[in-house]
Amino acid sequence: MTLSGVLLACRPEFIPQVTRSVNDLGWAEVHFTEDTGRMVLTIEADDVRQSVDRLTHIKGLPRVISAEMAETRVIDHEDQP
Amino acid sequence: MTNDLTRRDFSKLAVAASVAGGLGFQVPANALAAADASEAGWRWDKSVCRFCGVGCGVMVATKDDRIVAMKGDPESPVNRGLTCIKGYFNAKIMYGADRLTKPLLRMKDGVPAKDGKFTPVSWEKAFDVMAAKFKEAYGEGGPAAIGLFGSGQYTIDEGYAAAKLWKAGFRSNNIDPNARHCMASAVAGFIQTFGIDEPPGCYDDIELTDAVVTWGANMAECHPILWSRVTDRKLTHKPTRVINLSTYSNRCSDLADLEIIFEPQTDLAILNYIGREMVTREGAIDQEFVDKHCIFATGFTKIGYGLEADHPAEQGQEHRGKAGGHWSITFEEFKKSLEPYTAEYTSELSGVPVEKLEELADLYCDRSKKVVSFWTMGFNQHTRGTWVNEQMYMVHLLGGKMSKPGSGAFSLTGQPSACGTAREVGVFAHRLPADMVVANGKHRAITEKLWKLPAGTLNGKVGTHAVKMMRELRDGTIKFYWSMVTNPFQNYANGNEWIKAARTGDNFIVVSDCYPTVSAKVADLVLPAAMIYEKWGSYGNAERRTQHWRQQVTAPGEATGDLWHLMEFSKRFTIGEMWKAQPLKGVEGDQLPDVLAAAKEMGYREDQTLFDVLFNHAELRKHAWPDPIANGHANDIAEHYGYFVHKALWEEYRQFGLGNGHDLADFDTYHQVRGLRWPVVDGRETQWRFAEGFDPYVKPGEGFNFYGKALKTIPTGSPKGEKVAHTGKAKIFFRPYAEPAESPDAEFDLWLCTGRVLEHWHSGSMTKRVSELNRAVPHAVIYMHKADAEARGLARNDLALVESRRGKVQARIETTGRNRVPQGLIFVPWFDENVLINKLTLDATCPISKETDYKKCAVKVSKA
Repeated sequence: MTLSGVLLACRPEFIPQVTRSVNDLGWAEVHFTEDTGRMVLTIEADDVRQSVDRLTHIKGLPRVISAEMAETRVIDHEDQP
Repeated sequence: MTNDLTRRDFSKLAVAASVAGGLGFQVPANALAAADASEAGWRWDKSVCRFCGVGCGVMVATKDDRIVAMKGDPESPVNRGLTCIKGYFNAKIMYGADRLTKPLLRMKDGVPAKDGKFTPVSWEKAFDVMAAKFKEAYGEGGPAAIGLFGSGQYTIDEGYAAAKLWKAGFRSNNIDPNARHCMASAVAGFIQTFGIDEPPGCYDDIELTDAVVTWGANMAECHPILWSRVTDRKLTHKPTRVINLSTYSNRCSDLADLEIIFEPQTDLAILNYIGREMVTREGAIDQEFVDKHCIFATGFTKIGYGLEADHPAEQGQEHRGKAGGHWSITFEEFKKSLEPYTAEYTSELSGVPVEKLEELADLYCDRSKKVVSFWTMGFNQHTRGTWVNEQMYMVHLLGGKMSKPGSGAFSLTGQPSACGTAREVGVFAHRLPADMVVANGKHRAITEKLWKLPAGTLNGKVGTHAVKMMRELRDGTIKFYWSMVTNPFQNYANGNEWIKAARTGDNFIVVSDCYPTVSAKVADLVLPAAMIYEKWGSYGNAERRTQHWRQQVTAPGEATGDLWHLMEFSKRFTIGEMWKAQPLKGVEGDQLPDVLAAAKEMGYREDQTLFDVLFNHAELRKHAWPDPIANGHANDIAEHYGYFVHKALWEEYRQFGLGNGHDLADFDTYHQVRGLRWPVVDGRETQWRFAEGFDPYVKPGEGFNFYGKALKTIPTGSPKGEKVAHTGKAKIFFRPYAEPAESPDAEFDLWLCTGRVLEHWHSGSMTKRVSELNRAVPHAVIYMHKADAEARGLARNDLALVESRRGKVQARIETTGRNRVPQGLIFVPWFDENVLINKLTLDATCPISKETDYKKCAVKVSKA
């Protein structure tokens, strides 16, 4: 499984709406939020291709200004980064 | 909740906390503890990304001599904790199943043979054969018979050692980097305009500007982290305008306010149209800036296309061989030259509607607006690459939009150290470190002193540039060819000719590489190379930022750093062999002088090796290993030689730039910071060169000083006019539109443009080995307009044949997707060795920069 940490930005007044939209996806979760509209979320995926597809999906959510990956880890495969 | 779920939640929290902590969020202590616990036993260290010229900082985590995680470096001013999709796989590129781990020599019946099979051999055997072949070639043809094709992916110390060995040891200037294919036009543009190489501005301009204009730069795919900064600027500062100029619609257009698709080569006319508008419209020129800091200039026309003399495109090009010549003109002459470039004329030539041209000109003519213009290969890989770079400066200098926070013309780079290594070190056939050149006797004398060489050792004849090197390999003039950290037999235009020459000619091809690339398969001898985090190194990015890193893990098998390849090879030659008189046509007496007597006076012995005098003398060896700066990290090369080679070479190298506009900090400093932008004077980096208050070389009261020294003394009024020095001034060039070297016709009826895609880098030798990236984009496709496809009986995913006058390849048709091409043009990425598109491209170059135009040639497409 690939686990990615993502930085997302939206306007502050849309934080609740965007948080709900992300958490409702099932494979993504918002963990930290700032009043400025920045939030850190994680994306779970089978592989990187799916991670990228999912990131692209998040970028397309209403009220999302930008979403960029910041860290990735391959879980359960200790021999690979 | 199962244990698995707990572990999953724990992992998610750890990743989130790690990211949030790095980006400055308030993170609860328990989350940080989770992050720490998940990383137990890991060693994190700062490093840099292996790929493009943006120069993102990355953090590398290792455990048990293996990389276990990577992330964007939150402290990096370049990428601020983010990385692009390729950046995530910096580590995985090192773990491909087919890593080369032993030297491989083509052998038949136990002896080296061109038609033999690759056979694993010892390093000793590899260097024995390599040295014998080298000496055979050198004995026959002297310094002209050898060639080294280097790289903008060399670390700085590797490039420096390569240049030193080739120019000082072998006395040959036949060394040129693959940066010739990507940056040479930018270099020539900088040198001719400013007298010194590399961008005056920096990435900070993005957050300060009112407008970003991209010219032949698909930043969204090729420089995605910078594009994310442009995106942030656009979204958070509403007045910001983004304009994308390209020959096809790409991802940059998704953000752009204005997209301008133009006919290939007509960027030359569009820039002149803008220039015309600026000299015509009231108040568009920053008169005070221009009067105080600029002159006007022009040069020869009909300068050819860098093709061989008998090529049809070269006929009637009366100033072939004089391409770089230029002279000053008056403002009135400059203005008159621009007169033909009306909106109507330019629109007809370029296919761009007049209203779009006017909107573009409005931006550059608005003195109140700060503008950054970015370009990459669309400008540089151009038969008039130097001209089009200069035209961009023309527009910015006229408007005073140069070297100011938020305003500047900025040439982006494609490779991680095209600037830091290829350009700054001078790994070119005509260059020495710090913008010095081999043809200048004073520059050679400075270099001989710093390299401890007898006077007269260095060769003053400009060597064979990269494109010519292949032609000389084909013609049998070059008989020994060594390629390092690059993939020439995939990245050269007109590739069929060179592959055939290498495989069947009377020559010996050596390739230092980490994977069995196309070039490795073409070679006679393959030397296994260590990759980025398996060695110490440094790169210089596009904004003059120099960044160093430590070795993180051990290279597999017998793979070693390219620096070691060079230093070990240097042990096979004595100065007695190399520093005696050497035949070389075109220098005084058609030979390089014997400098052995002078060498003896300096205390050298004839039986000393090039290793002894270039890489192992006492001054270098005083840099001891181990060194506290290593902080526990290994250094395989230092351990092998018993001194801190990287530090020693760095400290020697930086002497070239001190006080010379190229000042670099000491070695240890770079291991304590996230890079510094040169010139670094008194520990302070420089954001905007040539500007008072930012650049230490500009004195109070000067405002601006374009202090570069090269090509400042030029004729006045005509090529034969009186020569005048224009110290401290930048040149505003007039350059006309010129026809392409090859255009579509009745038989070859389409333009071919080549380039990159987000998931792969350059020839794909690394990214194709990351399964995730390869699955995302497994093959190069032919991006084609749907109407063009239908006219040929083709549909999306059909297998098609693309042919030019030089070769053909098969690939599948793509009529949708990220690159939306206009009718009459196809785009094919060049990363895929199964679609060797460079068999089709034309080896036409800018005659000034000698950089190949990979963006324009004529092809036809049919059903396969």
